[in-house]
Amino acid sequence: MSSVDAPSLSAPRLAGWTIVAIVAAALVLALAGAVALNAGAHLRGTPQTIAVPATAMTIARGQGRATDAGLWLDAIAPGDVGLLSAPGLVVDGDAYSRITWRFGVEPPGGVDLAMTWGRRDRPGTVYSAPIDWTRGNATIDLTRHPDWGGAVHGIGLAVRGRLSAPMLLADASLRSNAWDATLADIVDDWFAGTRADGIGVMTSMRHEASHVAPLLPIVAAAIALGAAFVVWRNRRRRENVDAGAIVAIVLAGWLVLDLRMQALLWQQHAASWSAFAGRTLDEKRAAERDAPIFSVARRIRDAERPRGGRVLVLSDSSALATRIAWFLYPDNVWVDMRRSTVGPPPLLPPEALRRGDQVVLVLKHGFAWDPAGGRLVWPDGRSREARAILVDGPELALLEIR
Amino acid sequence: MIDVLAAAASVALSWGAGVLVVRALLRGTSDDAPPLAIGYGYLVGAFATTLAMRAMALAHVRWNLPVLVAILVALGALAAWLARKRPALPRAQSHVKATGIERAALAVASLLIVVRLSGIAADAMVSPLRGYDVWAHWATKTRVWLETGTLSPFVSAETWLARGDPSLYMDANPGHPGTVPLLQVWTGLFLRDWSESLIKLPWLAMAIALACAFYAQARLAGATAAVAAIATWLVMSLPVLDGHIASAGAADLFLAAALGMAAMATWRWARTRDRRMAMLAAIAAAAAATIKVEGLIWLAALLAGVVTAVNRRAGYALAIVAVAAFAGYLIFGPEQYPLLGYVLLSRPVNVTGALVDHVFVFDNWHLAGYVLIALVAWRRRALFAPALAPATITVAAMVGVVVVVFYFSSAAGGVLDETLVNRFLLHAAPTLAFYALLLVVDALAPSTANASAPAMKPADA
Repeated sequence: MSSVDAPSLSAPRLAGWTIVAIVAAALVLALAGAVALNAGAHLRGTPQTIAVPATAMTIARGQGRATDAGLWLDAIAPGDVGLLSAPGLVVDGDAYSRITWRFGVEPPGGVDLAMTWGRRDRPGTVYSAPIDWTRGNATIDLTRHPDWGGAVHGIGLAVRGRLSAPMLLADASLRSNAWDATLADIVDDWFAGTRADGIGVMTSMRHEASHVAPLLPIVAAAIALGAAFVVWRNRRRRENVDAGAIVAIVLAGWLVLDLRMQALLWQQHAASWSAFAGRTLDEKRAAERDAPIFSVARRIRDAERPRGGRVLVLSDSSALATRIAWFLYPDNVWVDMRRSTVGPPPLLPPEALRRGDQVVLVLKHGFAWDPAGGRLVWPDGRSREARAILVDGPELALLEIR
Repeated sequence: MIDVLAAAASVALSWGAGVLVVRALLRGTSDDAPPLAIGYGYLVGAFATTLAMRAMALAHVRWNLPVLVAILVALGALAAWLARKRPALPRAQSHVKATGIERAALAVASLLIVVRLSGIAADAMVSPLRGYDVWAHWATKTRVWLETGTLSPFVSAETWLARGDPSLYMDANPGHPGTVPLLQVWTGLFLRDWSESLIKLPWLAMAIALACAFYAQARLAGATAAVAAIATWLVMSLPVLDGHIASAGAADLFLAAALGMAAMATWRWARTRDRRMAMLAAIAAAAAATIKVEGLIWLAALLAGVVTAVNRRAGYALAIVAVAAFAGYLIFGPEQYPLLGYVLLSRPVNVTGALVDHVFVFDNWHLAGYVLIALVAWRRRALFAPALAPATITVAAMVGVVVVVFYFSSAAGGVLDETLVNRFLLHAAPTLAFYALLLVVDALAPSTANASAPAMKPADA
């Protein structure tokens, strides 16, 4: 390099071990503060977890069934709410406030989950709180919820929205908010993997919303404490502020965060290698979380059909259609991405289809294949002559327009 | 294995040609340094590769690997010949000997970067394309263009239906520029079959290039090797940045790197006034503009820094005019106004909660948000000094862009549902990181900063 070198970064006046001790002590203090802010009144939780098996639960609303694996919720009436509850359970809400609903089969995307409960001291009132959930088990921390406490009974999981596929609730657990359990939960959260598909940490740390106390603010607080101590110490001794020591404390905090991230990433790298290394592309796709979608797309892709034409993928789920379409490229694929300022886009007009176009119907309500007449029928009764290439019940059809 | 080597060759060819171009450009200047050429070289070479592919498509010539290779080899040879014509400046030797702790810091920082990138590379090179944008917005074009051998047009779903032309294609975002898919096509041309894993190699290359460019510019700005290495580690350890390297396929990493390189070169030019560094900045800026539509928005922020470098008062006036114009829009403008793919709103959407969560609570950016605020507070009296003013105005304009896009545009929905918040901030991350470094280096070496500050015009004095 040809630049003029700046004076070297002024080394900390404090010894290395002193800085390490300050950082460690500050981290312990910050962690203790986090525990104090999130824990209840008890030092020890006995038991630390109250398990609620599916056998103790019932389907209060919605259609479903009980099996050995848990409670299946199969359907919810339009505009209604599904509710799985444990009517006989009574717990001390002041001591058990972190609840986890564990799924055998996760609810499909697009549904909202909420927690419901009653209180012995306020009979007749049902309380609810939304659960921030996108995938995985559903957890909620009600420690600071104003209506959670006292003798809580009849906890339930409410499911709102369109349940496009059945879900299986395996069990529920109520976690103690005692100091020892809270400390364990905080640390466990930091090192728990985020998703089974090996991509969660790589895209965002959004999952930390469900953490009792995310690591970043704790490290930031520890750095502030450590820096404040250095400044206080320097002033007490009438010295200049040891800026080098403060920089070292910041870097140590950054290193703590980075080593945690390295640990999480390497867990995911190992999962990726285990799932994908040495496999063909189709095998890799079949090892993905949405493998069932790929298996459908593969049947369409590999069907005996003319190549080089246009393929229109129609589904009530735009996400499903888009994903299937991806597996069909480089074919000339069309998915309904039309934008409409008022409501859903209009029906695909029959005259927009050309002879030789291939139409994929996947979970598309209203459109139907009429095998007797050899026609693709629109919801409003219009139709086009077509040939079936692949038909598997009312949910899946691949047709060629004639 | 042969495909792995072929994919590596595709990246190496672009990279090599780019390094030679950058060396030819900077030869004989005080900025001619190997890490700088390596860092900027990949961006320049990759951009040149896509330009060659665009030219062939424009000439209705189907992409042909030997022709494209010949173009890049010719470009590299021409650059090497031009470089030979210019005498190199003798290398200045550092008079400051690194201490033991500095050497240790340098080693640890380098090791952390290598470990991080190795893990990500191992992951990316075996996994398929992942993430909605990756396979719904970007690789769709790659897949089709690789098949057709040219820039087959992508149109909206409405146009596709209305025109009925079988040569038209559609995907979830037909308006995205082609630079990034072209880089995947380029690597794909070297492979025997479609590989969703190996076409990610350009992302790894760009990450390494960004690290080299950042380190080199940090050294040119006056940082010691240890400080530069630590700063580079801090940037390369940012979880969202790493996430975009690993789940390779979207354009955000490329935009972040191109914009960062453009900003670093611009600020270097603001200090040295070397036109060749300005050319390098212009090339990086041009690349950024062709990577994603947002590149144009960010470049407007960079332009404010350029104006400030030329004339500080003009820069400040420009900033005031921009703020006044936006205030005028809020008061007198329509409720909604389409602009560059967004819809500008005259009433704010409160996204503060999501923004604070993602920057200060969730570990998406490690401590970067806290550190940047602390550094700006610490150096507040020096922010508008001649040496820092162009960078400060650029960063202030970037903050303005974030405020407008997050609070006053249709993108607010993407912030609230968390699909956009980190992606958009990533574009500015390397630039902001380098600004933070400049604040530190300027504080450590006031004499250096003053020495390299540009001669001010009378209006600036």
